[in-house]
Amino acid sequence: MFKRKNKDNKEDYLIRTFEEDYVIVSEGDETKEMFIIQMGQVAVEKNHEGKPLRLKVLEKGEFFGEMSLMAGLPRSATVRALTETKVLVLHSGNFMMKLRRDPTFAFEMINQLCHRIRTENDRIIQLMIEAGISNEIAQGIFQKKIDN
Amino acid sequence: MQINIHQDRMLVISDLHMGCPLFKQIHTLEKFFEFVKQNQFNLCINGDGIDISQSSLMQMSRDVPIIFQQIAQMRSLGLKVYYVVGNHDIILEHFLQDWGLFELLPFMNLTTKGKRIRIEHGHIYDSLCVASPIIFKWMEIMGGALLRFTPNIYHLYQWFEKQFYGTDIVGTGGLRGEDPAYMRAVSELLQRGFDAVIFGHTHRPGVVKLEQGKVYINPGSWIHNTYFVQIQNGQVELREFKVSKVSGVSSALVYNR
Repeated sequence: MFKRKNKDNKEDYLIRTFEEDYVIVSEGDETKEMFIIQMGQVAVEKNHEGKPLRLKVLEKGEFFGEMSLMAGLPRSATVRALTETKVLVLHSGNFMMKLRRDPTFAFEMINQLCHRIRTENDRIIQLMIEAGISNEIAQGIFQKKIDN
Repeated sequence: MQINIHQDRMLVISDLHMGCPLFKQIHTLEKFFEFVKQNQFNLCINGDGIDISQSSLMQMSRDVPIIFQQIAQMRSLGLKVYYVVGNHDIILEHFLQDWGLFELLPFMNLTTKGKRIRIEHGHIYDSLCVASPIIFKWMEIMGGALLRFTPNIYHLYQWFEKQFYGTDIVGTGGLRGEDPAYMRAVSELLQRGFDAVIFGHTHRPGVVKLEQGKVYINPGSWIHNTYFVQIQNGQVELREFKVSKVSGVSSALVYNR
């Protein structure tokens, strides 16, 4: 009785593939995209005493570049492909569309970011313990306001 | 709340609608839980397990304790039972959480043998739910009132849905009779590194095989049939649970349509 036309007006997202060891973003870059890993693995590294210090490894389903997208700041770390890696690239406009079309994506972002904050807090405390920093000095560091 | 789960053996069922006058499979469901325990699977109830929107108190008080007892036995065996909240049981969220039998989630990202599987009820992609959540809720409640008097009205609704979404939609590649919005949601999820998507809500069982070995599966509803999704050794399959009327022996057959 009724015929419904297919209203699938799927928008194509930009998908990029990187070879193993390719530097996807460099620390200090002014680029602003966010990336979601469809396939592969990447390493997040920061320059420390002239050498790369690996902070973490991200895998399929995880994202990076969100701080530059959201806050408009230069890249805080270098991200390098550890294997052949395929990523979904989001600029601010299609990031908003992505949130609209894929509502659990926002939930997952918050979930992952909460997990990262918790992990980093634990790491800071651990580093302070290892460095023998007293509670009073640590308290002073945490209470000091940091300007970006 | 933990949405990222690592399990290598899991069965997924959906839309039981226990408590609803249309749900008549309680004894088969009991046998299914025996099957789950014997084969040491973890279980995920993917939404609308308990139907508080369209329930009959008498039916609820008969069906739910039987199943809760089964779940308690599963937990005592060290098996996990996950409950993804749907639209008919969302009011029960606090109750289900406090009961302590389930691990409650809004959706699940299951990782197994290198594969990522999204298990989600899917009601948030329903076009009516998106367009007007209030009308959607009221239709649910009014539907429940009608079902008490004429359960067959549900078949009329299904017929109407099939006419509207039809079998002759070109290019959706989705399940027969299902709103194309679900395939769009599947496509969005697969672009984020998932290998399979399992939805419930639509009561349309089936398998859609996609490129690069990806798949969309819906186990349908236990109002009409007894399908479940089996996840084992990285393989995701739709199966049918059958109990022989003669011997009472149960079997799980691979869905093949």
